[in-house]
Amino acid sequence: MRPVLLLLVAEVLGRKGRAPVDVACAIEMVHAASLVLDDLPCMDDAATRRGRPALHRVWGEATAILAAFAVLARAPEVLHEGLVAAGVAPVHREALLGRLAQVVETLCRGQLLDLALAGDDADLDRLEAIHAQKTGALFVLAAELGAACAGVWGRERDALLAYARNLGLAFQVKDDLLDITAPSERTGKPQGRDAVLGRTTFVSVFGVEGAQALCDDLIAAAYEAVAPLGPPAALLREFANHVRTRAA
Amino acid sequence: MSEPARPSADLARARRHLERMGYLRGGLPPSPPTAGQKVVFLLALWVAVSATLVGGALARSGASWAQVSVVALAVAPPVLVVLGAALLAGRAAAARLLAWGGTPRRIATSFAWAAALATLAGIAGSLGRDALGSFEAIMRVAAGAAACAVVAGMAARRALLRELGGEEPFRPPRRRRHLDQLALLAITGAGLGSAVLPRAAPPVVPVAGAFATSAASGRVAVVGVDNLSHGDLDALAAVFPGDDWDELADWGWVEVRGASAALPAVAWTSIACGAPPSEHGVQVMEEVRLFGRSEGVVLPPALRRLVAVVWSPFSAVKVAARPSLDRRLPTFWEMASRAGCPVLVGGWWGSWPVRHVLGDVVSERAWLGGATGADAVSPALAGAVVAAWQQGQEAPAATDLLAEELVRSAASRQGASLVALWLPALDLTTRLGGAAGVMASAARLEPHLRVLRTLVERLENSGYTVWLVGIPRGAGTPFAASRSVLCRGGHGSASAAELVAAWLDQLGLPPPAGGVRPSADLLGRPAVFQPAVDYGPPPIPVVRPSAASATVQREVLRSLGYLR
Repeated sequence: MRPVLLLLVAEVLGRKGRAPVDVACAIEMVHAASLVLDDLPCMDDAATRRGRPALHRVWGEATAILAAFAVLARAPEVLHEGLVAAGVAPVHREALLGRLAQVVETLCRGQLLDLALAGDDADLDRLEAIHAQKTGALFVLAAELGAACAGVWGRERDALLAYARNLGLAFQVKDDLLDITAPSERTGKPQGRDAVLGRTTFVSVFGVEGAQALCDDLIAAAYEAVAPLGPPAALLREFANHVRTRAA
Repeated sequence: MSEPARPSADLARARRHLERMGYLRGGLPPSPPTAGQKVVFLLALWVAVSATLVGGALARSGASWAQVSVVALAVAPPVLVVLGAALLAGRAAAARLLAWGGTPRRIATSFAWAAALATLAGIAGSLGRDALGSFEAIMRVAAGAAACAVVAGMAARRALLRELGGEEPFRPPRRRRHLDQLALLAITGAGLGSAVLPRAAPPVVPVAGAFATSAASGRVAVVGVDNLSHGDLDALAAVFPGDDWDELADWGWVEVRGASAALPAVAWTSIACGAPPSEHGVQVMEEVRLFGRSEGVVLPPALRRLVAVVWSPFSAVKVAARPSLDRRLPTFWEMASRAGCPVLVGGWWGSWPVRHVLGDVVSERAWLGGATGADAVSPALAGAVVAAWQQGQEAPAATDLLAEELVRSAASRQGASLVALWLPALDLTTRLGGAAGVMASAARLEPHLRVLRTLVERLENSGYTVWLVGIPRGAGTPFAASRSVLCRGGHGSASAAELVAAWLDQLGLPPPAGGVRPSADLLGRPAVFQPAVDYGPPPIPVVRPSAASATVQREVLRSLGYLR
């Protein structure tokens, strides 16, 4: 999702070709590393990921941790190469590399908060705090990097950031819905795992209908955010609709 | 598959909540500042808080820009230290709360309130009770303090949100980027501006012509004794039977309203001027001389301590005694002098520096410290000061000798005369000796008390109507006693203004304008009707006290226990 969002943003802003792909890879590397760490027994203790056994189940915890760190460490280099290829100015490159480090830190904070609140009754404030850091931060960074690849820094970029912010939360709400409603064959994760673990989710707080309504609202807000971009934003609206209707 | 949970929260409320957090129609949340912006903001906040403190401390004092600059230079570093410490402590505490499961937004919001309240309390605490004691004073600093608090709170919230990862680093909308700095700039200007605003000058009515010739005809002696309550007189009568203390205790007496104050200089000046400190202007006993400047400034005690902590290691702060140059009202001896009545003043607080009066003055600077400069004593009595200090070595023995000399001089005068004496005897011994009570003090002070009794007796024998004024320990209610007072048993009370009017009346002089007329109880007879007169401002000082003189006087007062 995140690399696709980046590539779409770059394309909507007029940047096509291979240049943003390396940048998108860097985003995906960070995300993949976070998932490997997330699945560890000391974290979520997940058995499967994307329909296959989780990495630590196949290669052991130590290997999984080392792999995650290796990928994470490589990400800034890949990002730098991608930004150079995209022709991003050195001063902006430096700032964006700093942003990547910030987002990694934010992911860690979000995970820490998630673990700290496990088993507690969380409210919307805490849910949003967790997911804005665990999920939203990387969505927003993807939009930022896409805009940077296109050399756009003005109001259009702000609109895209608002889009990504709403989309990130909508994605998480939808994730919570799929945990309840979608069979594990489609999601690659055991169905109802959140409920089994006693996690507070948007569904447990607002119910299926309420969560779906919230998801719709967030998608609508994402639509609205990119309206000023005109017809080229159709791709982004389509993507947002995909997030809303995805079944896996 | 488990059953979907039922909605447990109001969806509409959730939507509003999300909007507040920047989702849906909430728009982009403001971005946390960059490192550079943070530095600029902190500098601006630092300057604004410092300016508010300077403005509060010097509000409407008519200080020069040079003076304001010096005070600002002295105040700013301590403020920076406090802000820095608060910042580090806040960050550490916030990180701890986050580890305990708090959400970034809640922590940031809580700390925003804490920062705002701490800023407000810090400013109020630094300026002290005196600066916030009246509605007018509060209004002078309220705007700046409140604005600093709000801005500090908002800044703390934004900074913590960024620190704790609660916000994504969006670029801020342009229009908001410099709003904080502009607000702080305005606070700075207001704070510094208020410091240089001159105080509204009291209307000065020329008194020339009101007393073309001396109007005085009576003889009055006012003897003030520090740390003396009327109950002490009864105790003294029990300790020294046969020494006529019981007779002194039997004089009529009244409680004096509106003259209680923790600092002796303030309380005794209130009695001397017949007005509260807010009117006569003497509110402190110390001033600060910063960076070697000869001009002292008055800072609130808490702010002074804060400044001293930072600057004392560099010897940049010197604390000196504050002469009564702030006094805006004349004392009773200055009123009498202006009406042509010769006066003799010994040791009364508020008499330093010596001012031009008809008569001679031994100010508290000479009375307690043996100084003989023109600011401390009238030339005619300088020799007496030297002699007393050579014989008596130090207070209170020297003050006894000086008082006896002044009373001898007063007794030899003919016609109208006013004597104002202030004795520190009981006060000094209690402070210096750590005596357990009045009895123990009295027993040890027998020679000094005998002097007091002798002074009263000699003055009465010389035709003076003697008033004994005492202020009990711990800012208690003062009393005034005299044979002429009808309130036996002390059931009456009088304001300080009424007391001054009574003394003037007994001198045959009219009451001061705006004051009250003395009651018959106070005079022992109906007051003679005379139209009130404006006695004008205090006379000008003979010479302005030097910096060295003020510094030495502060050490004298410290050694005697009046200052800490």
